[in-house]
Amino acid sequence: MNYKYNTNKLFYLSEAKMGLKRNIVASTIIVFQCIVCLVLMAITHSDLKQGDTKLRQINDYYNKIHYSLHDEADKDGSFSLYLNSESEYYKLKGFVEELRNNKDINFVNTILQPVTLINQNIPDKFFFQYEEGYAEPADFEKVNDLIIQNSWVKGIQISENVKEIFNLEMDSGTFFSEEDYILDDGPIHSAILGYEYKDYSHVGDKIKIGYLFNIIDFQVIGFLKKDTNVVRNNNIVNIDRYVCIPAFTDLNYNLYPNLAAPALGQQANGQILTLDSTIDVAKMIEQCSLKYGTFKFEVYSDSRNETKNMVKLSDDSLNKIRTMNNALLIFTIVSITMSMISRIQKDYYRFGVQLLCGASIYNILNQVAIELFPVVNIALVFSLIISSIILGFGTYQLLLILVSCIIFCSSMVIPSYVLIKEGINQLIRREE
Amino acid sequence: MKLRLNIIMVLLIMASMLICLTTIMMYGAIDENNMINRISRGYYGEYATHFKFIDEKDENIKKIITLLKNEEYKDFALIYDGYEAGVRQIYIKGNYDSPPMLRGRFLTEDDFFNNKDLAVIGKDLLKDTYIADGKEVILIDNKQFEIIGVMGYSSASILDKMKVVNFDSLMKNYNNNIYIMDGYSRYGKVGVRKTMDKITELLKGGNIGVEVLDIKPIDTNRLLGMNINTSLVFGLLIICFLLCIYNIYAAWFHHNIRLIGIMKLVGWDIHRIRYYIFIRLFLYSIVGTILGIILSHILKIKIRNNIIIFHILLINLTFLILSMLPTLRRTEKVSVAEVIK
Repeated sequence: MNYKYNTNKLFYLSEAKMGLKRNIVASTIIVFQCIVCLVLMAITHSDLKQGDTKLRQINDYYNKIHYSLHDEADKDGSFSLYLNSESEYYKLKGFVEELRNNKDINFVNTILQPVTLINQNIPDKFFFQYEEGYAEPADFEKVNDLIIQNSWVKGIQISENVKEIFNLEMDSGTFFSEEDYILDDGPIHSAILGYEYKDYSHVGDKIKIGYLFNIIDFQVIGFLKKDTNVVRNNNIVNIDRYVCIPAFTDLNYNLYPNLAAPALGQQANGQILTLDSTIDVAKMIEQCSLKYGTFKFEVYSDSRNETKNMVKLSDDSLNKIRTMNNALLIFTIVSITMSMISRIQKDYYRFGVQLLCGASIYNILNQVAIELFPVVNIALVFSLIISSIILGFGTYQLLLILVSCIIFCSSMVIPSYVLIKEGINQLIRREE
Repeated sequence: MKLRLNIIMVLLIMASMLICLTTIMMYGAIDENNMINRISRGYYGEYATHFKFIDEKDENIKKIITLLKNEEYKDFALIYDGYEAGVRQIYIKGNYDSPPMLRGRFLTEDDFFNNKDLAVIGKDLLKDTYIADGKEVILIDNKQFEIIGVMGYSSASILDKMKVVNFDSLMKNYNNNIYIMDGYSRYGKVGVRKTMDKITELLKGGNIGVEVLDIKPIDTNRLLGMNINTSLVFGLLIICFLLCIYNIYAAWFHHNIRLIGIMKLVGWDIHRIRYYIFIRLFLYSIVGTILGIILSHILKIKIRNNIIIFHILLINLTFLILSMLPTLRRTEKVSVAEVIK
């Protein structure tokens, strides 16, 4: 045979090409397996990343010490006095504003107050107490020959800091701006709707909302992302079916005298979050209440075991998916390793001939590696395309490149050992 | 029969072992993840149907249980939760998924309509139990219930404070009008959905005004925004599993191609050669699979139910045999002249 082994790179490539042609079925199987592995890795990585971020955000929330305020105005009858007195209103406003401006604490409002949606044709799932089985159907009233449909729906009033604390994200539109927290004589105010309202409303739609017995015009400025949750009184509340309006910080008392007092009364019963365990919140609230001469408040430290359990379970769930990922990677490496060994077995005599022609074991090793390299790369390219279609572009693509390198290197370890130890040298009866 | 160990055989055993180990890891992870989701949802399935009675009357639930009892449908549970009291009233017909038990057993179909007051409680409620008439009991709504099991998951969960009682013993309305019809998960999503649809139709046609509600409780997947479809992952892995085994057998085949050629040369018929290959591959794979199971025990890879290990073993062996078929077929194509030249 007039054949001399050439260590030129092009020669390696032509040998690898021939090898691929000879093992087209095995190569296709490897490509398929790598694609499955890499695409699943991309999907699980994206899920894990999102899960980790959400879990970190929830943990950030739980790492703070939680208190909830409950006024005692009903006990001593001061609430009815408060509702009818402007001066009492401003006393409470001073109290609430001091808490809002206190830099050592976060004073948070997530007020679950149902609202009335007027003339909106929406399914029952949005109705107040639907999840308890007590949703009231929409009622109709005749006003100036017009039939008005009132639907009593789930509503939440949120303070400005809720976005940051619960990491609320928008599916479309924008979140409330600072001006949206002012309720004055402006023609229209801003409302955000939960994700499930997306099929029934659009950004820019004008809606009439009955809020604490006052009809106010709102404009939809956005929709929250799917599965948006807030934590309130130790309960995780999913607000996909909620109408969100701002917990107005600046309410024109003269314009809305019947709304300003009850709305502020609700806001005063907010939650306090702090990282500083040295703060005596109960004492602080008592002093603040005395300073403004307003209601007395009871301060409860929230025990959050139930919700914390959910967080722990979520953490466990993420770990299970990580295990799945690791198993998947091992699985793929084992399979490709065996495929490469099979290929070496098949080409046993060809390698022997190449040794006779002057090739070294390491030349052959290179040749085997060069055969695997394009196979893994084809799979990588396909995986990148498929995962980009599913998930869009992102840093996970770097991970895919890294994983494909790991697959390539790990899958070559045992075949290299087999090639060196299996004794192709002995086949041609000479020492390498 | 002489079994010689060479590097391919060692690799075959190791690969079978790793495949078995990874299958156990994967199945365990998916199963645990499903369990975690189920617990976080309030311990009912993803396709559980929530409904309410249009006219809330005490006798509605009795009517509905009588209706369900007399129907042929089975493998479901009717659930009513008293959330604040932590009491779950349940009626089970046929099979239903038991929560993770620490001791004793969960309620079964035989526990209903026998004038028995039975309860399965969460581990945190053990402190409220006492002995009466030689039986461990707990007081629920001023009534003594015999404890037949204690449930709890490895992490603290909603189950720890839950009291599950047989529906016919309590029949109490709490502060909600939500009932849940849940199917047996072993039938898969489609099976559960079909059962739920049939029962929902039955309820609607049973002169009891019910309204099916669109309620999806928050679970860990929704909390974390996870969209992964574990069934799809497992399906794809099964395909990978087949391909992996196929590759292993192909490696063995190429290693032994000369031997097969010689067998043909000396007059072995094709069936005998196939039997020879089958026995060897099967034995090495079995050894690897058993080693995988042992290794999973050593590495403490958690599987909730030991029967699952048996299922994995069966699935593995089935796929081992299926993957062997192309290799066995290839023996026919081995050219004697080609391999011995």
